Amino acid sequence: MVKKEHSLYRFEWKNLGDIAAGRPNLGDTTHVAVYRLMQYTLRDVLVTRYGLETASEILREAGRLAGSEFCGNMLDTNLDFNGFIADLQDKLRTLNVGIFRIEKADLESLELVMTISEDLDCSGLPMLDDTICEYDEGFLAGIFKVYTGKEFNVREVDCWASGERTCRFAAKPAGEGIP
Amino acid sequence: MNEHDQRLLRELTEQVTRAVRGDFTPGMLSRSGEAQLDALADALARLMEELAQAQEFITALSMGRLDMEPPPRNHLLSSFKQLHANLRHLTWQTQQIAAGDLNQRVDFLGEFSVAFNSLIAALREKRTAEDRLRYMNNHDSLTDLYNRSYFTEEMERIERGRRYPVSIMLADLDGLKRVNDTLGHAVGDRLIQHAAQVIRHSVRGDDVVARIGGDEFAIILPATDTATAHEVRDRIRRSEELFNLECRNYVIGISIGIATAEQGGPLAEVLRLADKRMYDDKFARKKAGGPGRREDE
Repeated sequence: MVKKEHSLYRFEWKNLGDIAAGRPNLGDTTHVAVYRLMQYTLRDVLVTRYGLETASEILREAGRLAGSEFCGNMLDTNLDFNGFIADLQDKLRTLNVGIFRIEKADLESLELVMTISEDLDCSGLPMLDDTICEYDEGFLAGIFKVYTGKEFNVREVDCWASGERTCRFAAKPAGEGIP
Repeated sequence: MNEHDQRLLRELTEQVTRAVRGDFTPGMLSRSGEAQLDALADALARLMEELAQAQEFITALSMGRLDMEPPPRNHLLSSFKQLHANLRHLTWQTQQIAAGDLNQRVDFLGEFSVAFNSLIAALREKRTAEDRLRYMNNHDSLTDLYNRSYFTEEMERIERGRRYPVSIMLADLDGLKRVNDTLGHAVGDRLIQHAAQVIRHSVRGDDVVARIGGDEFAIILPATDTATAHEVRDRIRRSEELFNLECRNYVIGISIGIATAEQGGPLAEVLRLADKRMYDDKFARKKAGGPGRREDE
Protein backbone atom coordinates (compact mmCIF):
# COMPACT_ATOMS: atom_id res chain seq x y z
CA MET A 1 0.00 0.00 0.00
CA VAL A 2 1.03 3.66 -0.35
CA LYS A 3 3.29 4.61 2.53
CA LYS A 4 5.38 7.45 1.19
CA GLU A 5 4.26 10.97 2.04
CA HIS A 6 2.84 12.81 -0.91
CA SER A 7 0.64 15.74 -1.68
CA LEU A 8 -1.50 14.29 -4.47
CA TYR A 9 -3.64 11.25 -3.84
CA ARG A 10 -2.27 8.19 -5.55
CA PHE A 11 -4.82 5.63 -4.52
CA GLU A 12 -5.95 3.41 -7.37
CA TRP A 13 -8.47 0.63 -7.52
CA LYS A 14 -5.68 -1.89 -8.04
CA ASN A 15 -4.32 -0.99 -4.60
CA LEU A 16 -7.17 -3.10 -3.22
CA GLY A 17 -5.10 -6.05 -4.42
CA ASP A 18 -5.96 -9.48 -5.74
CA ILE A 19 -8.39 -10.51 -3.02
CA ALA A 20 -9.21 -13.87 -4.60
CA ALA A 21 -5.54 -14.79 -4.66
CA GLY A 22 -4.84 -13.40 -1.21
CA ARG A 23 -7.86 -14.89 0.57
CA PRO A 24 -8.59 -18.21 -1.16
CA ASN A 25 -10.22 -19.66 1.96
CA LEU A 26 -11.71 -16.66 3.75
CA GLY A 27 -13.17 -15.02 0.62
CA ASP A 28 -13.92 -11.37 -0.12
CA THR A 29 -16.38 -10.47 2.67
CA THR A 30 -16.13 -9.66 6.36
CA HIS A 31 -18.43 -8.72 9.24
CA VAL A 32 -19.98 -5.23 9.30
CA ALA A 33 -18.67 -4.85 12.86
CA VAL A 34 -15.11 -5.20 11.57
CA TYR A 35 -15.67 -2.45 9.01
CA ARG A 36 -17.19 -0.20 11.66
CA LEU A 37 -14.40 -1.02 14.11
CA MET A 38 -11.92 0.47 11.66
CA GLN A 39 -14.20 3.32 10.62
CA TYR A 40 -15.06 4.54 14.10
CA THR A 41 -11.70 4.01 15.78
CA LEU A 42 -10.12 5.94 12.91
CA ARG A 43 -12.77 8.64 13.28
CA ASP A 44 -12.16 8.80 17.02
CA VAL A 45 -8.42 9.27 16.56
CA LEU A 46 -8.97 11.92 13.88
CA VAL A 47 -11.47 13.84 16.03
CA THR A 48 -9.19 13.65 19.07
CA ARG A 49 -6.13 14.84 17.16
CA TYR A 50 -7.60 17.39 14.80
CA GLY A 51 -11.01 18.32 16.14
CA LEU A 52 -14.45 17.40 14.81
CA GLU A 53 -14.51 19.79 11.86
CA THR A 54 -11.15 18.75 10.43
CA ALA A 55 -11.79 15.07 11.11
CA SER A 56 -15.12 15.32 9.29
CA GLU A 57 -13.45 17.00 6.32
CA ILE A 58 -10.73 14.32 6.17
CA LEU A 59 -13.35 11.55 6.20
CA ARG A 60 -15.41 13.40 3.59
CA GLU A 61 -12.36 13.74 1.34
CA ALA A 62 -11.45 10.07 1.76
CA GLY A 63 -15.03 9.20 0.87
CA ARG A 64 -14.80 11.40 -2.21
CA LEU A 65 -11.66 9.59 -3.35
CA ALA A 66 -13.34 6.23 -2.70
CA GLY A 67 -16.50 7.30 -4.56
CA SER A 68 -14.47 8.42 -7.59
CA GLU A 69 -12.60 5.12 -7.75
CA PHE A 70 -15.80 3.14 -7.11
CA CYS A 71 -17.62 4.95 -9.91
CA GLY A 72 -14.73 4.62 -12.34
CA ASN A 73 -14.25 0.92 -11.67
CA MET A 74 -17.64 -0.47 -10.69
CA LEU A 75 -20.29 1.62 -12.44
CA ASP A 76 -21.25 2.13 -16.07
CA THR A 77 -20.95 5.89 -16.61
CA ASN A 78 -22.23 5.63 -20.19
CA LEU A 79 -25.78 4.93 -19.01
CA ASP A 80 -28.46 7.61 -18.89
CA PHE A 81 -29.33 8.99 -15.44
CA ASN A 82 -31.97 6.40 -14.59
CA GLY A 83 -29.80 3.57 -15.84
CA PHE A 84 -26.86 4.89 -13.85
CA ILE A 85 -28.97 5.16 -10.68
CA ALA A 86 -30.28 1.62 -11.21
CA ASP A 87 -26.70 0.40 -11.63
CA LEU A 88 -25.62 2.26 -8.47
CA GLN A 89 -28.60 0.86 -6.52
CA ASP A 90 -27.79 -2.63 -7.69
CA LYS A 91 -24.07 -2.42 -6.85
CA LEU A 92 -24.64 -0.92 -3.39
CA ARG A 93 -27.17 -3.62 -2.63
CA THR A 94 -25.10 -6.47 -4.03
CA LEU A 95 -22.10 -5.33 -2.02
CA ASN A 96 -24.30 -4.93 1.11
CA VAL A 97 -23.40 -1.25 1.40
CA GLY A 98 -27.01 -0.12 1.75
CA ILE A 99 -30.39 0.30 0.09
CA PHE A 100 -30.00 3.41 -2.04
CA ARG A 101 -33.01 5.35 -3.28
CA ILE A 102 -33.72 8.61 -5.00
CA GLU A 103 -36.38 10.85 -3.47
CA LYS A 104 -36.02 13.81 -5.79
CA ALA A 105 -33.93 14.48 -8.85
CA ASP A 106 -33.91 17.72 -10.79
CA LEU A 107 -31.85 16.85 -13.84
CA GLU A 108 -31.54 20.46 -14.97
CA SER A 109 -30.13 21.88 -11.75
CA LEU A 110 -28.63 18.49 -10.76
CA GLU A 111 -30.13 18.81 -7.29
CA LEU A 112 -30.77 15.44 -5.74
CA VAL A 113 -32.24 14.06 -2.54
CA MET A 114 -31.22 10.48 -1.83
CA THR A 115 -31.70 8.03 1.01
CA ILE A 116 -29.64 5.08 2.13
CA SER A 117 -31.34 2.58 4.41
CA GLU A 118 -29.56 -0.24 6.23
CA ASP A 119 -26.41 1.79 5.76
CA LEU A 120 -23.10 0.03 6.26
CA ASP A 121 -21.72 2.99 8.19
CA CYS A 122 -24.43 3.95 10.62
CA SER A 123 -27.66 1.94 10.71
CA GLY A 124 -28.07 0.60 14.23
CA LEU A 125 -25.57 2.99 15.84
CA PRO A 126 -26.40 4.42 19.26
CA MET A 127 -28.14 7.80 19.23
CA LEU A 128 -25.65 10.67 18.95
CA ASP A 129 -28.13 13.45 18.15
CA ASP A 130 -26.04 14.35 15.13
CA THR A 131 -25.33 13.10 11.61
CA ILE A 132 -22.19 11.02 11.31
CA CYS A 133 -21.88 9.79 7.72
CA GLU A 134 -19.29 12.25 6.42
CA TYR A 135 -17.56 9.41 4.58
CA ASP A 136 -20.83 8.63 2.75
CA GLU A 137 -21.24 12.32 1.90
CA GLY A 138 -17.85 12.28 0.18
CA PHE A 139 -18.51 8.88 -1.38
CA LEU A 140 -21.69 10.11 -3.09
CA ALA A 141 -20.00 13.38 -4.11
CA GLY A 142 -17.15 11.39 -5.71
CA ILE A 143 -19.55 9.16 -7.60
CA PHE A 144 -21.59 12.06 -9.00
CA LYS A 145 -18.46 14.00 -9.88
CA VAL A 146 -17.18 11.17 -12.07
CA TYR A 147 -20.62 10.65 -13.64
CA THR A 148 -21.43 14.31 -14.36
CA GLY A 149 -17.93 15.80 -14.54
CA LYS A 150 -18.97 18.40 -11.94
CA GLU A 151 -17.90 18.85 -8.33
CA PHE A 152 -20.74 18.12 -5.90
CA ASN A 153 -21.55 19.18 -2.37
CA VAL A 154 -23.38 16.44 -0.50
CA ARG A 155 -24.73 16.91 3.01
CA GLU A 156 -26.41 14.37 5.22
CA VAL A 157 -29.73 15.78 6.37
CA ASP A 158 -30.99 12.84 8.43
CA CYS A 159 -29.01 9.96 9.90
CA TRP A 160 -29.67 6.89 11.97
CA ALA A 161 -27.35 8.39 14.56
CA SER A 162 -29.50 11.52 14.74
CA GLY A 163 -32.53 9.40 15.50
CA GLU A 164 -33.91 8.80 12.01
CA ARG A 165 -34.40 5.36 10.53
CA THR A 166 -32.89 6.19 7.20
CA CYS A 167 -29.99 8.40 6.08
CA ARG A 168 -31.05 11.22 3.79
CA PHE A 169 -28.56 13.15 1.65
CA ALA A 170 -29.06 16.36 -0.28
CA ALA A 171 -26.69 16.99 -3.19
CA LYS A 172 -26.12 19.89 -5.53
CA PRO A 173 -23.24 21.02 -7.75
CA ALA A 174 -20.47 22.81 -5.86
CA GLY A 175 -20.59 26.58 -6.04
CA GLU A 176 -24.34 26.58 -5.60
CA GLY A 177 -24.21 26.58 -1.82
CA ILE A 178 -24.33 23.88 0.75
CA PRO A 179 -27.42 21.73 0.25
CA MET B 1 -45.95 19.50 48.83
CA ASN B 2 -46.84 23.15 48.81
CA GLU B 3 -49.54 25.00 46.93
CA HIS B 4 -47.25 25.76 43.92
CA ASP B 5 -46.31 22.11 43.61
CA GLN B 6 -49.91 21.03 43.74
CA ARG B 7 -50.91 23.58 41.07
CA LEU B 8 -48.12 22.45 38.75
CA LEU B 9 -49.03 18.79 39.23
CA ARG B 10 -52.67 19.63 38.43
CA GLU B 11 -51.60 21.43 35.23
CA LEU B 12 -49.35 18.54 34.23
CA THR B 13 -52.16 16.04 34.79
CA GLU B 14 -54.51 18.16 32.65
CA GLN B 15 -51.95 18.30 29.84
CA VAL B 16 -51.39 14.53 29.88
CA THR B 17 -55.16 13.95 29.93
CA ARG B 18 -55.59 16.26 26.91
CA ALA B 19 -52.71 14.53 25.13
CA VAL B 20 -54.37 11.14 25.64
CA ARG B 21 -57.38 12.60 23.83
CA GLY B 22 -55.12 13.75 20.97
CA ASP B 23 -54.88 17.40 21.92
CA PHE B 24 -51.19 18.29 22.10
CA THR B 25 -51.65 22.04 22.45
CA PRO B 26 -49.10 23.15 25.02
CA GLY B 27 -50.67 24.96 27.96
CA MET B 28 -49.02 27.50 30.19
CA LEU B 29 -47.31 25.75 33.06
CA SER B 30 -46.58 27.52 36.29
CA ARG B 31 -43.30 26.98 38.13
CA SER B 32 -43.18 25.27 41.48
CA GLY B 33 -39.66 26.22 42.49
CA GLU B 34 -38.95 22.56 43.19
CA ALA B 35 -36.13 21.57 40.81
CA GLN B 36 -37.30 18.02 40.11
CA LEU B 37 -40.89 19.06 39.49
CA ASP B 38 -39.82 21.92 37.20
CA ALA B 39 -37.57 19.50 35.28
CA LEU B 40 -40.55 17.17 34.87
CA ALA B 41 -42.60 20.10 33.58
CA ASP B 42 -39.87 21.03 31.07
CA ALA B 43 -39.59 17.42 29.87
CA LEU B 44 -43.36 17.19 29.47
CA ALA B 45 -43.39 20.47 27.54
CA ARG B 46 -40.76 19.08 25.15
CA LEU B 47 -42.74 15.87 24.77
CA MET B 48 -45.90 17.84 23.99
CA GLU B 49 -44.03 19.89 21.43
CA GLU B 50 -42.67 16.76 19.74
CA LEU B 51 -46.10 15.11 19.85
CA ALA B 52 -47.63 18.19 18.22
CA GLN B 53 -44.95 18.10 15.48
CA ALA B 54 -45.54 14.39 15.04
CA GLN B 55 -49.29 14.86 14.78
CA GLU B 56 -48.89 17.56 12.14
CA PHE B 57 -46.44 15.45 10.13
CA ILE B 58 -48.51 12.26 10.34
CA THR B 59 -51.65 14.15 9.33
CA ALA B 60 -49.83 15.58 6.29
CA LEU B 61 -48.51 12.11 5.45
CA SER B 62 -51.99 10.59 5.72
CA MET B 63 -53.23 13.20 3.23
CA GLY B 64 -50.43 12.42 0.80
CA ARG B 65 -48.61 15.72 1.30
CA LEU B 66 -45.18 14.26 0.70
CA ASP B 67 -43.61 17.65 0.06
CA MET B 68 -43.76 18.34 3.79
CA GLU B 69 -40.30 17.95 5.30
CA PRO B 70 -40.24 15.79 8.41
CA PRO B 71 -39.29 17.69 11.60
CA PRO B 72 -35.63 17.02 12.34
CA ARG B 73 -34.47 15.11 15.41
CA ASN B 74 -38.00 14.06 16.34
CA HIS B 75 -37.45 10.51 17.44
CA LEU B 76 -41.15 9.76 17.84
CA LEU B 77 -41.40 9.87 14.05
CA SER B 78 -38.59 7.53 13.00
CA SER B 79 -40.81 4.86 11.43
CA PHE B 80 -43.06 7.46 9.80
CA LYS B 81 -39.99 9.17 8.35
CA GLN B 82 -38.99 5.86 6.82
CA LEU B 83 -42.50 5.48 5.36
CA HIS B 84 -42.26 9.08 4.11
CA ALA B 85 -38.90 8.30 2.46
CA ASN B 86 -40.35 5.15 0.88
CA LEU B 87 -43.36 7.03 -0.49
CA ARG B 88 -41.16 9.81 -1.87
CA HIS B 89 -38.98 7.25 -3.60
CA LEU B 90 -42.10 5.53 -4.90
CA THR B 91 -43.29 8.89 -6.27
CA TRP B 92 -39.96 9.38 -8.03
CA GLN B 93 -40.13 5.83 -9.41
CA THR B 94 -43.66 6.42 -10.71
CA GLN B 95 -42.50 9.61 -12.43
CA GLN B 96 -39.72 7.64 -14.11
CA ILE B 97 -42.21 4.97 -15.23
CA ALA B 98 -44.45 7.69 -16.66
CA ALA B 99 -41.40 8.92 -18.57
CA GLY B 100 -40.92 5.44 -20.04
CA ASP B 101 -38.48 3.74 -17.67
CA LEU B 102 -39.99 0.31 -17.04
CA ASN B 103 -36.98 -1.03 -15.13
CA GLN B 104 -38.17 0.36 -11.79
CA ARG B 105 -38.85 -2.19 -9.03
CA VAL B 106 -40.36 -1.76 -5.60
CA ASP B 107 -39.13 -4.00 -2.83
CA PHE B 108 -39.93 -2.20 0.39
CA LEU B 109 -43.69 -2.01 0.68
CA GLY B 110 -44.85 -5.57 1.31
CA GLU B 111 -47.85 -6.71 -0.75
CA PHE B 112 -47.92 -3.39 -2.56
CA SER B 113 -44.46 -4.21 -3.94
CA VAL B 114 -45.77 -7.45 -5.45
CA ALA B 115 -48.75 -5.67 -7.03
CA PHE B 116 -46.61 -2.77 -8.30
CA ASN B 117 -43.98 -5.08 -9.78
CA SER B 118 -46.71 -7.14 -11.47
CA LEU B 119 -48.08 -3.95 -13.00
CA ILE B 120 -44.63 -3.03 -14.32
CA ALA B 121 -44.11 -6.54 -15.68
CA ALA B 122 -47.45 -6.27 -17.52
CA LEU B 123 -46.45 -2.86 -18.95
CA ARG B 124 -43.11 -4.31 -20.04
CA GLU B 125 -44.86 -7.20 -21.81
CA LYS B 126 -47.21 -4.75 -23.52
CA ARG B 127 -44.31 -2.60 -24.64
CA THR B 128 -42.41 -5.65 -25.94
CA ALA B 129 -45.49 -6.71 -27.92
CA GLU B 130 -45.90 -3.17 -29.29
CA ASP B 131 -42.19 -3.00 -30.19
CA ARG B 132 -42.48 -6.35 -31.94
CA LEU B 133 -45.57 -5.21 -33.81
CA ARG B 134 -43.87 -1.96 -34.81
CA TYR B 135 -40.82 -3.90 -35.95
CA MET B 136 -42.94 -6.28 -38.04
CA ASN B 137 -44.79 -3.32 -39.49
CA ASN B 138 -41.54 -1.72 -40.65
CA HIS B 139 -39.46 -4.73 -41.61
CA ASP B 140 -39.38 -7.40 -44.27
CA SER B 141 -39.72 -10.78 -42.56
CA LEU B 142 -37.45 -12.64 -44.99
CA THR B 143 -34.40 -10.35 -44.86
CA ASP B 144 -34.96 -8.26 -41.70
CA LEU B 145 -34.37 -5.19 -43.86
CA TYR B 146 -36.87 -2.32 -43.82
CA ASN B 147 -39.93 -2.86 -46.01
CA ARG B 148 -41.37 -0.74 -48.82
CA SER B 149 -43.81 1.05 -46.51
CA TYR B 150 -41.02 2.19 -44.17
CA PHE B 151 -38.84 3.15 -47.15
CA THR B 152 -41.61 5.40 -48.50
CA GLU B 153 -42.10 7.07 -45.09
CA GLU B 154 -38.36 7.53 -44.71
CA MET B 155 -38.12 9.15 -48.17
CA GLU B 156 -40.83 11.65 -47.15
CA ARG B 157 -39.05 12.32 -43.83
CA ILE B 158 -35.72 12.89 -45.56
CA GLU B 159 -37.37 15.18 -48.12
CA ARG B 160 -38.38 17.42 -45.21
CA GLY B 161 -34.91 17.25 -43.59
CA ARG B 162 -31.64 19.03 -44.15
CA ARG B 163 -29.30 16.14 -44.83
CA TYR B 164 -28.68 16.97 -48.47
CA PRO B 165 -27.13 15.90 -50.79
CA VAL B 166 -29.11 12.65 -50.63
CA SER B 167 -28.31 9.68 -52.84
CA ILE B 168 -30.66 6.85 -53.62
CA MET B 169 -29.44 3.49 -54.78
CA LEU B 170 -31.66 0.87 -56.37
CA ALA B 171 -30.38 -2.70 -56.49
CA ASP B 172 -31.95 -5.61 -58.32
CA LEU B 173 -30.96 -9.21 -57.75
CA ASP B 174 -30.15 -11.00 -61.00
CA GLY B 175 -31.20 -14.55 -61.82
CA LEU B 176 -33.70 -15.11 -59.00
CA LYS B 177 -36.27 -16.70 -61.30
CA ARG B 178 -33.70 -19.15 -62.62
CA VAL B 179 -32.72 -20.19 -59.07
CA ASN B 180 -36.38 -20.52 -58.03
CA ASP B 181 -37.17 -22.64 -61.12
CA THR B 182 -34.12 -24.90 -60.94
CA LEU B 183 -33.25 -25.13 -57.26
CA GLY B 184 -36.60 -24.31 -55.64
CA HIS B 185 -38.07 -21.35 -53.80
CA ALA B 186 -36.35 -22.19 -50.51
CA VAL B 187 -32.97 -21.73 -52.21
CA GLY B 188 -34.31 -18.60 -53.92
CA ASP B 189 -35.21 -17.22 -50.50
CA ARG B 190 -31.68 -17.94 -49.24
CA LEU B 191 -30.28 -16.14 -52.28
CA ILE B 192 -32.38 -13.07 -51.39
CA GLN B 193 -31.19 -13.27 -47.77
CA HIS B 194 -27.55 -13.48 -48.82
CA ALA B 195 -27.94 -10.56 -51.24
CA ALA B 196 -29.53 -8.57 -48.38
CA GLN B 197 -26.52 -9.36 -46.17
CA VAL B 198 -24.09 -8.33 -48.90
CA ILE B 199 -25.83 -4.97 -49.23
CA ARG B 200 -26.34 -4.36 -45.51
CA HIS B 201 -22.70 -5.10 -44.68
CA SER B 202 -21.51 -2.68 -47.34
CA VAL B 203 -23.48 0.39 -46.30
CA ARG B 204 -23.09 2.70 -43.29
CA GLY B 205 -25.04 2.82 -40.07
CA ASP B 206 -27.15 5.81 -41.08
CA ASP B 207 -28.09 4.43 -44.49
CA VAL B 208 -31.61 3.03 -44.87
CA VAL B 209 -31.71 -0.33 -46.64
CA ALA B 210 -35.10 -1.71 -47.65
CA ARG B 211 -36.42 -4.63 -49.64
CA ILE B 212 -39.10 -2.99 -51.76
CA GLY B 213 -40.06 -5.92 -53.99
CA GLY B 214 -39.32 -9.62 -54.56
CA ASP B 215 -35.76 -9.10 -55.77
CA GLU B 216 -35.55 -5.31 -55.47
CA PHE B 217 -33.70 -3.36 -52.83
CA ALA B 218 -33.54 0.39 -52.26
CA ILE B 219 -31.02 2.27 -50.18
CA ILE B 220 -31.29 5.87 -49.00
CA LEU B 221 -27.89 7.43 -48.39
CA PRO B 222 -28.42 10.67 -46.43
CA ALA B 223 -25.76 13.41 -46.57
CA THR B 224 -24.06 11.54 -49.43
CA ASP B 225 -22.83 13.00 -52.71
CA THR B 226 -22.43 11.04 -55.94
CA ALA B 227 -18.75 10.18 -55.40
CA THR B 228 -19.42 8.77 -51.93
CA ALA B 229 -22.45 6.86 -53.19
CA HIS B 230 -20.19 5.26 -55.80
CA GLU B 231 -17.80 4.21 -53.03
CA VAL B 232 -20.72 2.46 -51.32
CA ARG B 233 -21.59 0.77 -54.63
CA ASP B 234 -17.96 -0.37 -54.99
CA ARG B 235 -18.07 -1.88 -51.50
CA ILE B 236 -21.20 -3.82 -52.50
CA ARG B 237 -19.40 -5.06 -55.60
CA ARG B 238 -16.43 -6.26 -53.51
CA SER B 239 -18.72 -8.03 -51.00
CA GLU B 240 -20.57 -9.61 -53.90
CA GLU B 241 -17.28 -10.91 -55.35
CA LEU B 242 -16.15 -12.26 -52.01
CA PHE B 243 -19.45 -14.06 -51.53
CA ASN B 244 -19.30 -15.58 -55.00
CA LEU B 245 -15.76 -16.82 -54.36
CA GLU B 246 -16.90 -18.66 -51.24
CA CYS B 247 -20.36 -19.86 -52.29
CA ARG B 248 -20.53 -22.74 -54.78
CA ASN B 249 -24.31 -23.22 -54.83
CA TYR B 250 -25.29 -20.09 -56.68
CA VAL B 251 -23.96 -16.73 -57.79
CA ILE B 252 -25.15 -13.39 -56.50
CA GLY B 253 -25.39 -10.71 -59.16
CA ILE B 254 -26.72 -7.28 -58.23
CA SER B 255 -27.49 -4.58 -60.78
CA ILE B 256 -27.18 -1.12 -59.27
CA GLY B 257 -28.36 2.36 -60.19
CA ILE B 258 -27.55 5.55 -58.31
CA ALA B 259 -28.98 9.05 -58.44
CA THR B 260 -28.29 12.04 -56.20
CA ALA B 261 -30.36 15.01 -55.14
CA GLU B 262 -28.01 17.90 -54.42
CA GLN B 263 -30.72 20.08 -52.87
CA GLY B 264 -33.95 19.58 -51.00
CA GLY B 265 -37.17 18.67 -52.77
CA PRO B 266 -39.20 15.66 -53.84
CA LEU B 267 -37.10 12.50 -54.18
CA ALA B 268 -39.51 10.70 -56.53
CA GLU B 269 -37.62 11.89 -59.60
CA VAL B 270 -34.29 10.80 -58.03
CA LEU B 271 -35.78 7.38 -57.37
CA ARG B 272 -36.99 7.13 -60.97
CA LEU B 273 -33.54 8.08 -62.28
CA ALA B 274 -31.84 5.53 -60.01
CA ASP B 275 -34.28 2.89 -61.32
CA LYS B 276 -33.43 3.78 -64.93
CA ARG B 277 -29.68 3.59 -64.19
CA MET B 278 -30.17 0.25 -62.47
CA TYR B 279 -31.71 -1.12 -65.69
CA ASP B 280 -28.85 0.43 -67.71
CA ASP B 281 -26.41 -1.40 -65.42
CA LYS B 282 -28.35 -4.66 -65.79
CA PHE B 283 -28.29 -4.31 -69.57
CA ALA B 284 -24.56 -3.55 -69.60
CA ARG B 285 -23.80 -6.50 -67.30
CA LYS B 286 -25.96 -8.78 -69.44
CA LYS B 287 -24.17 -7.64 -72.56
CA ALA B 288 -20.81 -8.29 -70.88
CA GLY B 289 -21.97 -11.79 -69.88
CA GLY B 290 -21.43 -11.11 -66.19
CA PRO B 291 -23.44 -12.34 -63.28
CA GLY B 292 -26.14 -9.91 -64.28
CA ARG B 293 -27.27 -12.27 -67.03
CA ARG B 294 -30.77 -13.47 -66.37
CA GLU B 295 -32.39 -16.30 -68.31
CA ASP B 296 -35.82 -14.90 -67.59
CA GLU B 297 -35.03 -11.70 -69.47
